[in-house]
Amino acid sequence: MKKTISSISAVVTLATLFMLPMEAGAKEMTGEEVTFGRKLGNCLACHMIPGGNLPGNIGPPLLAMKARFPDKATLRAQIWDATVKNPNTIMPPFGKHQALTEKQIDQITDFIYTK
Amino acid sequence: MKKLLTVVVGLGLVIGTASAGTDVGADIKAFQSHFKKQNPSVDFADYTIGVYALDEGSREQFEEILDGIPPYEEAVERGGEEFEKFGLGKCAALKDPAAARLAHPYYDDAAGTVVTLEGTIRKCYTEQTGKKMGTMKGKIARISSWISDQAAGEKINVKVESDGAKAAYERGKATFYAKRGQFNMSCADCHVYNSGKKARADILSPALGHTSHVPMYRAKWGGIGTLHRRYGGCYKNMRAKPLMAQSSEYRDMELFHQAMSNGIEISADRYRK
Amino acid sequence: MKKILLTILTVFALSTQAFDFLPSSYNWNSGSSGDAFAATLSAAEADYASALAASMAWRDTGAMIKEAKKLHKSGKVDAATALVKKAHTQAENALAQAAVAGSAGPLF
Repeated sequence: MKKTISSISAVVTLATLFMLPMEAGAKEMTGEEVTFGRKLGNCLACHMIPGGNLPGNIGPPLLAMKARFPDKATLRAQIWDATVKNPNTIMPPFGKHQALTEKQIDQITDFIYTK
Repeated sequence: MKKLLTVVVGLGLVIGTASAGTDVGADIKAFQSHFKKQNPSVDFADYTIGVYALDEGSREQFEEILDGIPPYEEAVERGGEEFEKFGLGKCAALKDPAAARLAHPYYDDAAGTVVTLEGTIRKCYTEQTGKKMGTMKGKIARISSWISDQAAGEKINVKVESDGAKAAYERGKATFYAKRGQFNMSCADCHVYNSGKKARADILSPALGHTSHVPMYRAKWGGIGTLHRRYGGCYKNMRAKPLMAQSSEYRDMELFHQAMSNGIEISADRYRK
Repeated sequence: MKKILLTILTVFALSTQAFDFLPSSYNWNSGSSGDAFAATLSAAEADYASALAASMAWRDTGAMIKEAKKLHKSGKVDAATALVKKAHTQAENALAQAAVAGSAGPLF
């Protein structure tokens, strides 16, 4: 028991130490924050996503993404530029038009892929 | 055989005119039947109340606001006083306010340009007072609202007849359907193909009926604004640089945009969220 | 073993310090990178002007060019170059939209 506590506290200490530099600099955003942020992905404007409030319904709900996109790269490509598959889509080409950074697109892909 | 020939020649003519020139009537028909297909249970006449025709809950809120004292009532009244005060009735084009609302927008062949109601009001104001008038809010929006009120219940009936008018109409149509801005969206993306759907909690309004109640009062603005002010706001939302209100591009687009609502009643209920 | 580890860590820490010490915009090769900024700036300004003329400019491009010039003036050449590149890409994308805008029409 004592051992467990000490190892937990060690982990916590280590984690805190690792997070300190990030806290000091620009705060690192989570995938969820990038996905839901109104000035970032704002994915909820059009898509229902589990865990997000007041979603729009212009695009399909973002569910069962692993089944719909067996290859994660295909999902990322869709976020990067949805006009490749459908030139008439209302979905902004977030990567091609640099509305999001490559890193933010990675974060959103990872986050959405767990849904 | 002769019959067949006639049919073939007839078909050729139809295809010929469609590709060679502008068929505003056919465009209006296609546009309005798109909305019929999109919202089969909504009556054509109901599009005068715009987005509220598509959602029962919002319609109730809208009607409650109209049942009270609508937040724009005082401003519109003031617009009427200003119309008198500045002597705008002395200008031939505004002498009959109801007729003026119905006559605009139109293509002026001599000037080679689309004339909007706001354009005529501004021109008249300058003639009468020697001063300039804005394009988006304040006096212009109040006076234009009051003039439009006089035509409430009449139907929008934009005419696009001359070659010049058709060219302006085609330019306006392209502006309406073109994708622009960092978000790569068109007016039609939201207000034609996706009207009735929700962006977050906001229901996208149908373009059919958009011009029934302009200038509009928007809760978001806390006041009345002109149609071109709204165009600018939409451009910003698409992350495109707004054009000047009353620019030739926006006037051309208004000609197209209003024509698409031909047959819809002009309304004095200018409240929108 | 411990000694090696310590040395590695120290070197690593020092090198990090060194990178941190220099401003992120530190200009290692001021001559050519200054030219790179100027060239990208004039390309961005030209394309932005064309996009404006076509009434198809994007919302933020003008402000980005302005900000890039300001950054460059205050010596932050790398940040300025990155931003002006982004502005140029915006203007290029706007011109690509403008190229097809004239023929846009309904999908029905």
